[in-house]
Amino acid sequence: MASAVPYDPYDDLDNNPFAEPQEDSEPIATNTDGSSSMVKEQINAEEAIGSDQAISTVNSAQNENATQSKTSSEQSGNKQLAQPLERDVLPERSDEKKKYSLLVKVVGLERFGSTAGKKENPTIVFDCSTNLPTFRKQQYKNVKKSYEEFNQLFKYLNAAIQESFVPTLPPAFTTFGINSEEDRIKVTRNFQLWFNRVSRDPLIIRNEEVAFFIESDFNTYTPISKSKLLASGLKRKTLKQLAIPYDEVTELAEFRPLVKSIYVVSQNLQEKLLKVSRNRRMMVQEENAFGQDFVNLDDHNKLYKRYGKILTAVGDIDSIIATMDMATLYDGLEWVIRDTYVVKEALTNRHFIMRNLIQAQQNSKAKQEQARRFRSRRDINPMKIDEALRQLKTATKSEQVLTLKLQRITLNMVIERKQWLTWYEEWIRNSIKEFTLRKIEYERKKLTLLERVRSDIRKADENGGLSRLGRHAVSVSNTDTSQTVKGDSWTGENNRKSQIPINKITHTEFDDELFTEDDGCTSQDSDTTSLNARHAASLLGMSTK
Amino acid sequence: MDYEENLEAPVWDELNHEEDNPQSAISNPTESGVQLPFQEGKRKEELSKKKAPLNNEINIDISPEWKDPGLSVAGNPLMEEQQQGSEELKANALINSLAPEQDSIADIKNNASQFLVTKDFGDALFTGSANSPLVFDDTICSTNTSASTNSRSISGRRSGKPQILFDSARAQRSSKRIYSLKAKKTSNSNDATKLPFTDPLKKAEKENEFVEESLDNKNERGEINEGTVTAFAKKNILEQVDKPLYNIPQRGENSVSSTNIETNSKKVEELKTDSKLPSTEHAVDFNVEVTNPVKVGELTSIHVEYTVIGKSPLLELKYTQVNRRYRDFRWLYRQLQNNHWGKVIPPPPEKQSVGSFKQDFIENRRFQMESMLKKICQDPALQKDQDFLLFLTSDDFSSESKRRAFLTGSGAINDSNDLSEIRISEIQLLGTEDAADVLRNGGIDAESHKGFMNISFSSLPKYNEIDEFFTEKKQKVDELEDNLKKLGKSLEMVDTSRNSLASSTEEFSDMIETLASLNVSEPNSELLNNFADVHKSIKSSLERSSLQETLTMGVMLDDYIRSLASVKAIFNQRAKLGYFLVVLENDMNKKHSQLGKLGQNVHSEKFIETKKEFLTIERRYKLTKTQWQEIGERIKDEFQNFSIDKIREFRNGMEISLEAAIESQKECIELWETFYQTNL
Repeated sequence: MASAVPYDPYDDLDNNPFAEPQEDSEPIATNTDGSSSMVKEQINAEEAIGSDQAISTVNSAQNENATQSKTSSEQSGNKQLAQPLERDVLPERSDEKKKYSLLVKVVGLERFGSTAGKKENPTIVFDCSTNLPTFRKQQYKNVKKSYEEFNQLFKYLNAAIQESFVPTLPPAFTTFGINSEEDRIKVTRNFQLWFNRVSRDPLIIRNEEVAFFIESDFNTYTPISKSKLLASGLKRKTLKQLAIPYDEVTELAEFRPLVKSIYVVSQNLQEKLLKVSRNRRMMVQEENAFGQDFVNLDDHNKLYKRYGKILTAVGDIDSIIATMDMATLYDGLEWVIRDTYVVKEALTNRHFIMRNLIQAQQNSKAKQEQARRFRSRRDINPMKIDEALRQLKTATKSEQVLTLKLQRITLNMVIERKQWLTWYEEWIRNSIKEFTLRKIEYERKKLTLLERVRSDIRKADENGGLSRLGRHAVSVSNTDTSQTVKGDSWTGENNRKSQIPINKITHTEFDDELFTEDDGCTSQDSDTTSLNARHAASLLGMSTK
Repeated sequence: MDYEENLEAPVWDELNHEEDNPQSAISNPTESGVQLPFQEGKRKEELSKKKAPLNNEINIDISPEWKDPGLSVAGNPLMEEQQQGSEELKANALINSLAPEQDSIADIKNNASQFLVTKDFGDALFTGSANSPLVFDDTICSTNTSASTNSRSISGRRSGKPQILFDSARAQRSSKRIYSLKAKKTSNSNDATKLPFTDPLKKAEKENEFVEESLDNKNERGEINEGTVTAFAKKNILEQVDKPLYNIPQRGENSVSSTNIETNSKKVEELKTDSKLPSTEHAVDFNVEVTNPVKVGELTSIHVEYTVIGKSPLLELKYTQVNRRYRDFRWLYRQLQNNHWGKVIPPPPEKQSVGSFKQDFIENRRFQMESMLKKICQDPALQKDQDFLLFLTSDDFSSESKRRAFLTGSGAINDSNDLSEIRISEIQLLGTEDAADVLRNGGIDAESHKGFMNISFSSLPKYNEIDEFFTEKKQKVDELEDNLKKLGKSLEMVDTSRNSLASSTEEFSDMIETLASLNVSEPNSELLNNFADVHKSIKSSLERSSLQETLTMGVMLDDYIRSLASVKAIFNQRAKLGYFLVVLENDMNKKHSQLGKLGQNVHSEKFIETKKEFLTIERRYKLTKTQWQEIGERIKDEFQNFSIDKIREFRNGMEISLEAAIESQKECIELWETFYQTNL
């Protein structure tokens, strides 16, 4: 008994370390005031209910060991930044005034080097301002880091910070094609988003590697401290096969399967989208061939030529749509997939730690049992007793370390889980939004093209076609379009307007190509086509990708 | 009296429909191919006198048509009055005798037991309908044997009942017929044997009726035309308004109403421009339907039979219904080709041996054959072709068709696969007797083949087209055909790829739904579900537009290509005739020189014989030459018309498919916009 006492200053009757690890409400009661007060500070952004839940579950997880947290935090507290030690398992989160911050603004993207390097390894240029003590300066301008370096940092962080879901890097390139302006914008914006996510995580920004990363020269960064994943390779695979340890935190217990399904489904979705896109490309080929055949149908017939050209142009727009589908949703899903994978693995790591903890608990229990046995005996070798006590001490200590670690992880993950879900939702939404906007834009352009040739056919045969259906109303003028500034002619809703400015729709990438021999139209369109030319060229170059 | 009401009401209502027929006959101001009936002379003055009343009568009759069919008893007398009135116009003295006649019918009906009445009444009506004795026999049999044909018997009754009334009125006039009619009615028996007696009479009467009106039209053509023209203009507008936008198949011929419109508009045009071609015949209203494909036969002889229904004043009985198989349509094509040299015959669908029992194939074929018949119907020359009429009416088609093919030497029975291949019938070319002679010797070109075995190096005479119009056009047609085929191919490819896009879109949307079902959060799931829905709609829209495309562009291209084969056929006809011409010229020259050699011995037997041969060949030569020249002229004409027609059709097709594309594009934008507005 005497051996156990020093470790349990707040010992009360039931909290016998030798007792069975059972659900016990009293220690929670004793600790709730302390931990809840700290929690209130630490997660002001979170909803109160959620955090309370988190704490209670954390406490129940602590159970018998709850009271030991103080002593164990003394050791871990050394590494941490002079925070009040007894307050928290997660001192970083209790930073009331958001004292430390890292602000990054991505200003540019450079691609150079070999063809592969250009694509896979762009250089990101960003400005940075911070008040973190790990940094030597407060302001950094025009920091250049290659994607490879980012990747190194990410790998390190992911292994070193087991408490967090470290955000994965966005893809280094998009489906827009690396030469296009859209790609530049997109990648830059994605990195900005990444930095935003990273700097929101106090655990990450406090990591000194972040400072090393930013302060190192271009293309020289490698992680200085070494970190290793808990288990990797075959061992990890084998460990994953084991039954998942019981998880008291239902949120996290349910989170992993969810994330995993998201991961799997997103992958499938990506695949399907790829298939759609590919099929669309096939269709484009056929549409182009069809249009071409129309052009060839009669050498002397201008109408067929024009119609064929329009059909070809419509096909080309379809091809752009295929690219846009990929660039918006496919790439969006790509990030989701990467992220879900990391989240999933982080949760797996937690399982490993849980399993380790269980082992440590069993170990320390065995040692205590041994110690008790010694005590009941008379003829004991004092050497043996010392040995046993030492073993008991180390076992208990490692158990405490693990317990604290698990607490930290659990607590942090519960918080991050919400953030991650919000991010996921927001990201999917944005991807779909972008997807839809692009769709609308190009479908509208298609419509514009189609309506342009309409009057030609009408002119060719006044009495034919739809006029038989009483559609004399179709005007002969060339300006007959259903999409105007006032809205769409076919809908009844007047107040509804497209999100895309009308002049963007009414001029397509193929205008100059279509009207090369048609003077009447070019003169009228020339001002905008010239503006569009570069855009068109980039799009054209990319659509064949 | 409820019962009687039920019986009477529809009857009187139908009467109006019957009255409509004359009206539609009137609408054909250019009725020309109608034979005058025997009573023509007698009625002529009377009718021309009563021109105006007749018109009135028609106007009156139109209005009841709109009335509810379930008219009350109170309504009936009114109609009766009208009916009587119209009768009065035709035969003043008959009013009194007519009324008793009506009563007697009613009495009989009442007296008969209820069970009997329904049945026998129907049968009696049958006797009245009697449009075609043959069909009629069929229906009688079927009513007796199976209940399934009830619907048909009803339709028979509809047209039949008023007919009886009409007939009976007439019958009184020419009192000799009363006997048979009355006997039938009073006996109320389902006596089929009597039908043949009455039928011809009624037929004749029908014709009379019909012709009366058409006579009027001739008499006062200008006047009526104006009226009918405006009436039809109105009708056209109505029809146009009623027409669904995209239900309209490629060509006007595909729907009956548009056929009417077209012919009418043609008439209008002609009237306006004071037609320079008075000789051009006008197409008589002619409606054909191909319906109800049924698989018949056992293993080896299995084939699909289609029901062909024809309705036209040109037909003896105005209405005909026969069963025909694909082969018969080929026969018709060949036969028409043979009968009308230098004319582009609407082609039947291509042969296809594999998968010819699939549902959509059959439907497609049915559609193509229907449009073929419809086009034939519209052509003033072709619609009166006796082989076409035989095709529509013959009951024993398989043997009759063979006989016809033999008689005309068209070779329609040994049909080649290629629509553009042709056979020139010697019978058609040279006349029956000479052709028999020629055929006995193995064809016109047999002479040149003679001795072919002995002197193998005597080259066959070759025909060189002298008129470059033909060579040029032929080349052009070939080119066009190639291009169109390519176009058709790529359209098909577009179609397949579009369909595969649609199916992958569906998979995609399913996957989105799966993602939504993970239920990450409420708004997220909703968003994803809606997203999936949009994709589903896009998918169905894709499928629809693909179907649309095949229905418009695809069908049109297909038809175009087949028509080109038909065009090539007429070029081939010319070439073949030209070839014959060369052969004959050769022979003629040979005989001529032979004759010259024998010239000293004018009275020798040999000389006389050679002279005779020479004369025959000369005659053949002349005949062929005129035919050759004629066909050349006709082809030029026909080709011009054909290209104009086809180009117009093609443009229509383009426009319709463009409009369809625009509409589906709008739909697509709308879907996305709505999704955007509500979800993002």
